[in-house]
Amino acid sequence: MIVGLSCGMLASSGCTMPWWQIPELCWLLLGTVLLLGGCWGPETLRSRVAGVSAALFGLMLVLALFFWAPGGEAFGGFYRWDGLSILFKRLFLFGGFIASWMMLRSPDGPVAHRVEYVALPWFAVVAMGLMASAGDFAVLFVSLETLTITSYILVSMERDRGTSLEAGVKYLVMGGLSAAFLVYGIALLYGSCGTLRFDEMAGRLPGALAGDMGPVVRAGLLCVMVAVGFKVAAAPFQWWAPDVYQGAPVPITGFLAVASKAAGFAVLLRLLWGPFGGVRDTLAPMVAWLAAASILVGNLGALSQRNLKRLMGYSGIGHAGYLLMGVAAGSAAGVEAVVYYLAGYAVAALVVLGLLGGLVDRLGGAEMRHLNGLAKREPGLAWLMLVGLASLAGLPPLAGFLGKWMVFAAAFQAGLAWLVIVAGVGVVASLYYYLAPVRNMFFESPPPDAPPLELDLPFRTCVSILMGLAIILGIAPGPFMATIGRLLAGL
Amino acid sequence: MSNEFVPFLIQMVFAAAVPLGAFAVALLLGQRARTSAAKDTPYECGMEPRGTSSPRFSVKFYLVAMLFIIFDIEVVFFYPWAVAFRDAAGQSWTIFWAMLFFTGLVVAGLAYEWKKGGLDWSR
Repeated sequence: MIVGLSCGMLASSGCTMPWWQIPELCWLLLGTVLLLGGCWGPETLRSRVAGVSAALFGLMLVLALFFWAPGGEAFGGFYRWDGLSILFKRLFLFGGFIASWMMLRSPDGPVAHRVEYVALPWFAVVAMGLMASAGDFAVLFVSLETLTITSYILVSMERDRGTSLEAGVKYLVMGGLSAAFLVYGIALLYGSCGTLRFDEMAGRLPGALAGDMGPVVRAGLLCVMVAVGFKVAAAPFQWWAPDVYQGAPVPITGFLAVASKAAGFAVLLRLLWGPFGGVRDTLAPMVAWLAAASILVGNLGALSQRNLKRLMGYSGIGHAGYLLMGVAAGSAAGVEAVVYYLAGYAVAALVVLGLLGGLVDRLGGAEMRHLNGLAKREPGLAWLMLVGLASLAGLPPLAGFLGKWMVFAAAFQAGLAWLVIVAGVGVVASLYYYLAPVRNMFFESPPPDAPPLELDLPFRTCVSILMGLAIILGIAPGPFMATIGRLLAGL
Repeated sequence: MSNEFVPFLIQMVFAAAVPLGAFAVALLLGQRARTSAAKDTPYECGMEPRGTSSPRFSVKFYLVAMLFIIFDIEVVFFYPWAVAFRDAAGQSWTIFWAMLFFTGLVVAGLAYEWKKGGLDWSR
């Protein structure tokens, strides 16, 4: 364990890092220990397994924030320890930390499989970390499958609730389809380039695209991009997202919305600035179209939603569209904007979903009408929710505003003015559905026999800190942007 | 046709000849027996061969099958490791520790399954 805690610290410079310094191994061990400790350990440990998990996630996040330095690779280049992977790993740990914190407080979730519910996010975070660090298509495929299989279990864990099972089955079917696309695309690329290594493929892909293997390369690129589109829930591959977000337990919805989406973008950036670097100009129009479709489908689809979790699913599709704009820009500014946007989105989405997770049983559900009169019952919580929704909608001075600003600017500078106009339409539409719950909270009267909303202090503190982050990121992004710029310098 | 497939061809000829021969001998030498419904049904080991096309059976079968496949595949990894690193394993501890780590994960999975009652058939 001591070895595990020092992971990543020693790899400050140099070409190779020893395999035992890879932080994912440490996380894997921690997840296994939690799982076995929860099953075999004494009752006192079993009842506190969620708290232990949240504390360990917090510790790992602190280590990741303050001790990690980029540079090096392991397993002969299969594992890359660079700035991009570090940034994303921090996001994954953050998502895992907040999700396990929510599990600690949220009554939502399976009772019989508490230990698995708490331990599985560790394995998901391990898989995401490997995805962000992949230097080879084999590693990418295996880690992506590990993540999706873990997610199926987490989504469908509440076996006595129909929507949870429905979400799990839909996720399984769509995930299987996406995996088929991915592996088929990888096979075509391997067939035309003769390698699975990212660095080798980067050199061979432009030549293969121009040569007589061109159509095969195109088909392979298309298949891989479709699979990544599934992962980030970009239209037209978004069909699973609203059902899964609605059916999953709230902490898992938050985890998927934040960490899983970030993992998809980690792969997308890794591919476009790695093996597909030479053909990025060919793929950029496709990414731009995906972005436009996602913005329209997500934001217009969310207009008629009355369930907050489902609404977050649709809005997540829209946010994937904004993020894809930054990717389509193809510039360093675009990539920095994507990372900033992801962090801002994570914070704001976790404010909304965290509050929802803490309140869902006392409110009686996640429909908008359940929020009626929240401002009269609990003014503080209503204002927290308001800030979260406003940041998601992109109102200044919050993180959501600055993120959208940077993404739009990057897209505009890349000559994608039409995409910025489409995104403007999306933003205007999103104001309606983000402010609809605000109307319920502030201008409707609470139900007459409403029970008091007891939400304990640690939970309030956590959500308040998240809200504070949303404001700080929006007002003073300087240090954060400097870190992003420094870590992405070599991209 | 290349020569290395000739044994294969011989085997296929034998594989066809033995059952056909048995049928032919039975037709030539055997007596005509009286048939009945029970005699004409395909032979199954103690099971009723006919029934509904979608029978219900215990979910335990799935559990055992899944666990078998998981552990089977995990254990299969030992073979390529042993073959590929046959000589190198004597010189480098890394190869040993990496495999020990993997073995530890397999054992952890077994411990989990045991505690969860996955090995308890009567549950």
